[in-house]
Amino acid sequence: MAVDRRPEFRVLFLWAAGLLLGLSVPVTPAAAQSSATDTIGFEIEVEPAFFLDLVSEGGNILVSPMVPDRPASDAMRVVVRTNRGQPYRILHTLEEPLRGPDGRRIDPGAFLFSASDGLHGGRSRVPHPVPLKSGRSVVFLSNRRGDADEFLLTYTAPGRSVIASGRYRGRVEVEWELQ
Amino acid sequence: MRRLRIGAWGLAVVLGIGLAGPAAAAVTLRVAPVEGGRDMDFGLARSLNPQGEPTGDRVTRQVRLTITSSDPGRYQVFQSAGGRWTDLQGEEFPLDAVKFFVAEANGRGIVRFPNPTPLTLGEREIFLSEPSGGDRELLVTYTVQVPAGQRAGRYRMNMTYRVVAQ
Repeated sequence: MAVDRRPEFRVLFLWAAGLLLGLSVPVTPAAAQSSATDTIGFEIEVEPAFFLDLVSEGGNILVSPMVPDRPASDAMRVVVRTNRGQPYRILHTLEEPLRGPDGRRIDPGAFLFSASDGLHGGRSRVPHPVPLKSGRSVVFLSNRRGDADEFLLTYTAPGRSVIASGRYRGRVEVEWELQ
Repeated sequence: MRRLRIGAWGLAVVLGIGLAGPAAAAVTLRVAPVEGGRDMDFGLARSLNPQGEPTGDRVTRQVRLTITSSDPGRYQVFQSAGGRWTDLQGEEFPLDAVKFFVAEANGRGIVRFPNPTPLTLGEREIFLSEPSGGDRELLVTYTVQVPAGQRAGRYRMNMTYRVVAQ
């Protein structure tokens, strides 16, 4: 006897369709989610700063005594503290040339100055003593990163010139400039 | 036969829902800096003091995370520093110069970082709710110790917060 199995197939189909429908029924409202995310920015600004300190005994350069054939020298430490991160250079200017009590100027060749290399990669532009002349000149270049550094400016009287006795005074200015 | 079909549909739908498992709790998250604004602005800080000595400022800011959960169920809260903290030139502000800790207003749930901890890259779970879930408010406190001599610049990064219902 032939058996018609179509109704059972239909029931199975309906079971499967119903199962899929059940699986797809949303169980939470459409707007609800099981996770949530939010992003914000974090910002901080570090203030740029540049400090140049000249450190010397008593705040002055004292090259003394200047005696014929006996060199005398004194040094000043130049300390640069910066966070700018840009290369810089240090300039040196003889603002007031050395003058004696009677106003007489000293021979520029009688007084020399030089700069050392820096402790942190900066390079001197006057590694060997040169006459201390009027005018502005670059004496030091920082490293490429513009790091803080320190170096010495040394002033020397070689004692080769004959200079009238007395106390001579002058004034130098040291300044910085970003490159 | 018709009754049989209807019964089959109904049973299958019920069974389908059952197989889908329990629903995850629906959660929402709102993130707002306590000091106002959309972003966490630590402001202008110094890495050299007025005498030129390398000493960094210390700055503290807070962010409030407001979590709502419409259904009972446990959830986790994550914090993720999305990348390095850098300026436009690519100079880096060290992440471990930032310490954070988390507090929960009602003292409920598990706070993962109750004490100041250095920030690191990547995602970290900062809070685990009770099994029953519920609305919560977390306060995350960040303290930045500017490294002495830190390069000048405006540093920026993104911080992402994520709530996941289990």
